Amino acid sequence: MAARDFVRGFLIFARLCFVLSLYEDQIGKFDWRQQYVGKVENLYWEQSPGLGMGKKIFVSTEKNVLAAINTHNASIAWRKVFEEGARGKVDQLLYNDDALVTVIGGRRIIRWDSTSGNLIWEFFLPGNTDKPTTATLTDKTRGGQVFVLSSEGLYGLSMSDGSQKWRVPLSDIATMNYQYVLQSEETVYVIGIHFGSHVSVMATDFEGTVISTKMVTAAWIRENTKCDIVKHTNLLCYDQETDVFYLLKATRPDKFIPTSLQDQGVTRDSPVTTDWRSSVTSLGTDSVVVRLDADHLAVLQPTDHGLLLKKDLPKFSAGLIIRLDDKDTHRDVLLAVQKVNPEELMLKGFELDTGKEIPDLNQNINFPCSHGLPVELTGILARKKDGQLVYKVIILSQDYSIQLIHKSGNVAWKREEALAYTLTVEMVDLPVSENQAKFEDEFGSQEDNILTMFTKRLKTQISQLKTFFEWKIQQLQGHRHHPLTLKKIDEDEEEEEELLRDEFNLHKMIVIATAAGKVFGMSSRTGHILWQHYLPDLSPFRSLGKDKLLLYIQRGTSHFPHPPQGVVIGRNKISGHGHLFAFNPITGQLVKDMPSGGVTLKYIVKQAFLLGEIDEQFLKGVVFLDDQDQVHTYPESIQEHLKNVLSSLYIYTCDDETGLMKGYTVFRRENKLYADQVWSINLQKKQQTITQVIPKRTNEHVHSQGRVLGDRTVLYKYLNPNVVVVITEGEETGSQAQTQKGPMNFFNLYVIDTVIGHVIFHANHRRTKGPISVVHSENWIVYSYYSDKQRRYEMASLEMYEGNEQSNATAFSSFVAPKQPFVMSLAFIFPLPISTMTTTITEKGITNKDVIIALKTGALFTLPKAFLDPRRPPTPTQETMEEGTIPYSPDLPVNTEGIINYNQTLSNIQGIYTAPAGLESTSLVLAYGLDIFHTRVEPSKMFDVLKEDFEHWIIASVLAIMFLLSFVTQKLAARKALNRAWK
Amino acid sequence: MSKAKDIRRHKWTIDFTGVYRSKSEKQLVPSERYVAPYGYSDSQVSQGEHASKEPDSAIIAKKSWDIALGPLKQIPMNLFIMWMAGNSISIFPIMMVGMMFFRPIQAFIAIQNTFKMIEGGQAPLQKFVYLLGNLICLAIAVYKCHVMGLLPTTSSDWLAFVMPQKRLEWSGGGAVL
Repeated sequence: MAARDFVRGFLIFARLCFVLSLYEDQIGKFDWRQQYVGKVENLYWEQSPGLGMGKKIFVSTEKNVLAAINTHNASIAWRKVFEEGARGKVDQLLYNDDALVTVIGGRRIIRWDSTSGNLIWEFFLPGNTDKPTTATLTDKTRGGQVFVLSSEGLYGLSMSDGSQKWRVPLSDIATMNYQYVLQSEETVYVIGIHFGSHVSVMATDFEGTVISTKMVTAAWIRENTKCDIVKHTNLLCYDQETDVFYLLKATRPDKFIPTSLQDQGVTRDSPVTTDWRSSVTSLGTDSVVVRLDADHLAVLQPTDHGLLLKKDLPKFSAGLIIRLDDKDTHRDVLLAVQKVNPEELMLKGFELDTGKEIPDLNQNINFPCSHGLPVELTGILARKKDGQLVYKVIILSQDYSIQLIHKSGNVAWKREEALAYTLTVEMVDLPVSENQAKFEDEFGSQEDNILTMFTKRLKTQISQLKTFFEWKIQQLQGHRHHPLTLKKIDEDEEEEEELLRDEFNLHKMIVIATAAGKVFGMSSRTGHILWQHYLPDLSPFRSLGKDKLLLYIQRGTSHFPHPPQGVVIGRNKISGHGHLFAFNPITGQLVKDMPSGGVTLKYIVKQAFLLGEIDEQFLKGVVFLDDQDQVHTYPESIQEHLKNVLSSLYIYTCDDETGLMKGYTVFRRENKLYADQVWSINLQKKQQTITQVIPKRTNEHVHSQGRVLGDRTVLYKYLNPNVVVVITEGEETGSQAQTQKGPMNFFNLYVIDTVIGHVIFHANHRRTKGPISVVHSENWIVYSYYSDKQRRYEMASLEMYEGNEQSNATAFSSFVAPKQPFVMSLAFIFPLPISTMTTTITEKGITNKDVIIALKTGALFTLPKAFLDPRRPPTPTQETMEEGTIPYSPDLPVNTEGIINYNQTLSNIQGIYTAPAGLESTSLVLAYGLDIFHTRVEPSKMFDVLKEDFEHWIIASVLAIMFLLSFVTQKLAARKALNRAWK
Repeated sequence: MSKAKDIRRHKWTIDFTGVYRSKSEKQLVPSERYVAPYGYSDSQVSQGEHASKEPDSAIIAKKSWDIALGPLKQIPMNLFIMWMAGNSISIFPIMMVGMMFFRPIQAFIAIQNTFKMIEGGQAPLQKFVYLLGNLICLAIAVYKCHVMGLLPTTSSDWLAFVMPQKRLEWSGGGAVL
């Protein structure tokens, strides 16, 4: 027994030696991390007295993040990431007098230390909180309280320690929606809305004594009516149907005062867009900026007689009112931005009282069209000692980017928050240099005779010589350049140089499509954004409850002179039809005839995929299936080529609404392509829903067609390329099960051949629940789930084999394939919660595979596939040792060497993308979610490159010494022999 | 040389050959003075042709058989070494196997010379036995390789050359978008 344990321990140890970990000096050498916060919802400038204003900004975002960003370099000072989903949603961010308070998940009130981000206190609201919770803060001078309004009561909390001082219960909580809490000098107002009937305003003092409760009729008020608090004590609502603004003064809640903007003389085409916000842009001022359209603003001032239009700002996209405190007076300054041309933004300053322009503040700002329109403007304004006005302004744009503008109009920094919404990633090889391309051209063509090859060789060598001289001349001329232009040229050159393939093809272009409708091109070496496009009309598909954008690389870089081509496919925001955008993934240039916002297709896309075969132009076509079962292609011209492969083309769809999986063939009629349904599988919608469909990656190479067993026979892999894994989840409806242990969750895993609709394998896991993450590669499937019964995370592994004989060694057809492969399976315990998984991929598929697991703890963990091998024997024998399988133990080891992002925690990892590098041993990894992390992994160690610490010099010098020594001794020996002969 | 001659003409020297004697003295003359030693016969022994040849050919045959059976005699030794060496692949077993291959192959290379040495009436048989012995040695070596798993005899040895299967159907799709 002891001996066996020893053997087991030794084997595991031997395996672990294959895990490559990082040395300390390698940190950051080939990995990088970028941290994001998401789309900003609330933003405050730091106002700590003494330290000066605006060193930091505090933001809360759609991604359940609270963060402080340093304004001098855009770095994150601190960041808090809350749970995903509604539980961690930052409902409200309040900042006053250096007190930072958030309302999280509707029931947690937390005060944070604004400098360090430490939690000072937390208050947990009792009771049911489906309805929103809001809060408001008072100044320190007025007692320092937090008033929290939940759906059931109004709470007064102490600002210093978060203790509950008092509670006022609310009336009619069944019908009333208490949504707004306001405060004046001494009074707290609570506004509750009864939709379609009335509004109640309750006033209490700061000690929790109810002063009054009044009802105001408001029959027009609906659930979708937009309301907001303006000027501290006013509630401003907008009724979309009648296009009327209503104003209610909480201090004197008699009635809503209606105001129509038409009466005020504002003309516009469409009614007010729904996403107007005023709370942020009207801090402490009398007026409010209201957005009427994407590029139309109005400044309104609440008065006793309703709203007064202070200024109409057509063509302006974002505005901001700042109160400027001069010596003894204060005045309100309006800053607004206007797009003057596609690449520039004009910032204008107005004196609000007089409406006059302040020419000092006018500024042109460089604003590329890849940001869309500015959405919001926040900033600070100050008067310098010499009387000049200075400002710092932050612009939030349609593409979720944040940028800081200085007085000089320069963009100090930018944060591309769209990258926190990454949906799809592809990595594209960079092009080889021109000379190298010529070389490849030289050896690539077979038809050439010797003479033409010779001339080609001469030509390439002449061009090489030419470039060398050109480079030399440039080097010599470089010194004469003006320093400024030189710098610019240098930058340009650097970019150009960067975009060439390196020796091992480790440097690639990362193409990222985001849910914000933005497409990025990023260098994999540095993580710098090299190009970007904003597609205002693009929105992701909604498939199986998840956002999905399709990103395909139609043509790589290896088909010179044809440029590479990529395509992003999504849904048009307005029409719901398909929306397509084709571009060059290396340069970011648009494909010919492509409008800058992409094209809207004429049909609703039901399914789209990339063809496996290339046409004469080396282009892989994209095939679309529309909701009328008609088949379209992009580009259209590919249809001619498609004719030849039509007979081998199949399409399948999975519908989670009907629970049906359908397979189609494609046929041609009257020059149009149609899909014809040939099979369908009913996955019983009543009992379970389809949650995942996982195909294999098409670019995956499988080097070894089988597996060598201990007795040296071969177990051939079942390598059906058309197999998909379908996961369905459901709840068991057995009566006794539900009464005893609550709902019994289960999930099913189906392995389905999508050509003939044959269910190859089916596994059912009872008393388990998702989220399930699946890796599907080669002939194996690894999936993780949560076992309700054992209350732990488990992983299961399946491998499919044809057996000891290969049915057809040359080709695989689903029609004649072995119907029932031999499936082996084994389950393991994984000690940590998993958010997503994937596997490494290498150039030729020779290297062992690692499973890369993103843990909820923020780590990326690589587990050698050998640990998840279903052939791991329970008791090791001679034969299994020969085969090299590790003896089975139910626990999967999590050793810290396998964590490839060492201490760089990644929050909310949504997906991991792996790409092969030019080196067989190496696979490139990009993990995305809230953060983006790129590194490379070597699952079988770096067997094809000498290590960095390889002692070239020692070996060379030893060799040289050996040569020298042998030479010298030869001479010596010869001399000795001669001497002896003379004796 | 002359010096050496002088040295040899020592007073104690008894010259039996008569090199330094005169021509007449050179012939060894049987002297009456000396009695022939026992067992010495003056008369020339006439040896029959057939009588002398019989044992000669026997010796040759014996010698030839020695050569012919040499490889066969090594077999038990080889087997023992093989058994001792075991089946693991490490430096010593490999050296042993190498030696076992080396010897018969060397023998095959030098087979012409060896065959020249084998004479006599049984030569064809002996040559055959010699060849057989070496072949058996070689076979044992090959068998040893096989046992050690060094021969590409199983399908697993050719697995690396199996090409990936060509894909005949293309299927694409997924969840309804």
